[in-house]
Amino acid sequence: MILPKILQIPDAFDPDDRRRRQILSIILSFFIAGGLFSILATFSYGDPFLEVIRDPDASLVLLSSVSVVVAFGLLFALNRTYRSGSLAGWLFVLCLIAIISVSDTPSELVGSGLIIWTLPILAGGIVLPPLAVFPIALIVSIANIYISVIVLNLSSNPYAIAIFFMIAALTWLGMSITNRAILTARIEAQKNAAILNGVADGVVVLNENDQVVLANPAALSLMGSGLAHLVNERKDQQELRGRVLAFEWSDVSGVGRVAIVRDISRQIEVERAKDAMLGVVSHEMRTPLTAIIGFAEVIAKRSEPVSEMAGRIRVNAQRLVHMVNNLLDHAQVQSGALKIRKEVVSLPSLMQAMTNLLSGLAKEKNLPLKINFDPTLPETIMGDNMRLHQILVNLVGNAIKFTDRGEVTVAFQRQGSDKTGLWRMVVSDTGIGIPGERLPDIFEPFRRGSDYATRCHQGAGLGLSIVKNLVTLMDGKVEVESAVGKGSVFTVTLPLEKENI
Amino acid sequence: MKAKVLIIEDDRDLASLFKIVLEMSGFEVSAVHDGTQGVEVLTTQPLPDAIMLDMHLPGVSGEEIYALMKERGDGHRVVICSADVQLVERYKSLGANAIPKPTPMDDLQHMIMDIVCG
Repeated sequence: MILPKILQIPDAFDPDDRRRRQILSIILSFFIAGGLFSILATFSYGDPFLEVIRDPDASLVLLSSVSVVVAFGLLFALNRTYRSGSLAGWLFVLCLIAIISVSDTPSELVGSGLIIWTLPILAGGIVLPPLAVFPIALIVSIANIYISVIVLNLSSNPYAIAIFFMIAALTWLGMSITNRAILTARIEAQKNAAILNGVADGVVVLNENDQVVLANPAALSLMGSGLAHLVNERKDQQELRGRVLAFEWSDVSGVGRVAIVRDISRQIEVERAKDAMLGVVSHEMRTPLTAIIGFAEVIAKRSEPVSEMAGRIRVNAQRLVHMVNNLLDHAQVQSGALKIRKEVVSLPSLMQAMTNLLSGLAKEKNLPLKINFDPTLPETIMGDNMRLHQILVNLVGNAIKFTDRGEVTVAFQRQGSDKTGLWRMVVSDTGIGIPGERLPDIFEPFRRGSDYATRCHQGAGLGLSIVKNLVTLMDGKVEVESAVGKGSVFTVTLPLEKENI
Repeated sequence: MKAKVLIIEDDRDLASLFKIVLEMSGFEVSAVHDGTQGVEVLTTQPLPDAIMLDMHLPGVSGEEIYALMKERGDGHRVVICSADVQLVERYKSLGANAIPKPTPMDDLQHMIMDIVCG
């Protein structure tokens, strides 16, 4: 691996200059290698040194080879020197012209060997800035005219001159286009590098052998010396020195595996603070609400119209309580603090508790609340009483809220065979329905399918989100089918766990 | 003779609400507003028939008072009343009488009635 190192040009040069010098280095090394080969060849017949020197042909070859090695060796050194400018390139082109001038008989050089003169022009285009080809073409032309007119006493060949300049023009055009393309690519690469260096997210690229081939400054500052170790664990989240790092992995063809690393400690902290605050606020709101509702209940037992007004105070305060409860549940689901319990649940009691709570509301709206109970379902199952009640009340409460005519039906059904062991709560209504485009995000927090309607429904829009979260925690699923103006059907499917006897 | 109920509740409005409601049901009700006073009454005076116990109390906490009562074998006389629904559920699962805030007054009356008649 010494050769590439020798050919390598120091970083001090501007990229274009560096590229040209590199090419010149390679060309020069070829000439030097050729010269050395020819010196070796001269001695390879085993003749003693003095005899070789005495042979005029051999000594001429030897002399020219040595001069090539020495001259191009000096050029090679000059080419690597910072202050030399394009001197090495120019000297090389001039040497090339000189070598060509003595490489054949004058008549051959301006006759059938004419094509060889284009070499310095092409070489100049590669190792010198593109415009240099024109002065080189001029020098080549002068050399040609000199040989034709002065040496051979002929007239000059205008076609040859025209061809030289044409070749020069083509070379200039080609090299200019190439240079511009290289420049564009370089600017693009610099831009990308600037972005990569500037982004706050860490970027790490691994090759197919899981070796780190690229890591931007953000990645280094996030992970420090443990970088390679951390990315090789291939986790989505890791803790390091009290910080939480999130990893986003992707496979980029031709690049490798790319990890985007982000410090999410602050985000987690904010989430925690928010949950804690929500918990405290909800908690603190319950105490005064208890007093408001309680006193209203006491007053409601007095005579009309005071009892009527107290009743309204109570209903409104209860609405607030419901909202606070939902907010608290939402916060708990988000923070993962909500746990599902396993206890004996009586399905008839579950249904009864729901009707006790909501039949009044249905009656107020003159809606029949129909109950359907699959007789093949066991009476008791294992589950979380409070949360199942909450799911059912949320769904049925919504159904009543969004239905003005028709009926609301609640069914408990067994699904599939005994082996699959599933049961369903199906809540159907004949209400306003949910438009198709709103269905996908109906279970997202703070969304309500109703806001398309001109009428307003109360609630923070957390009910369905909580239902979805609770059902998911119970390893079940909730689905909805709906048509605007026709009604909605919410189906909660849950694993059926019989009571352990 | 009227059954006696002690309310240990730091929120004075709530304490007076519970007092009114339970007096309406015919109980003799007294109230204290912090945990230290609660413990003092419970340890120095004749034990009431039922105790309404808030959980977040200044001085001695509701949890400690409940533990004390349970140790003395009088846990069944206590009704835990808290705004922390999770806490209420936990105590319920341990077999305690617990009721969340906001408290439906009917439920409260029934629960105290059950304990006293018990």
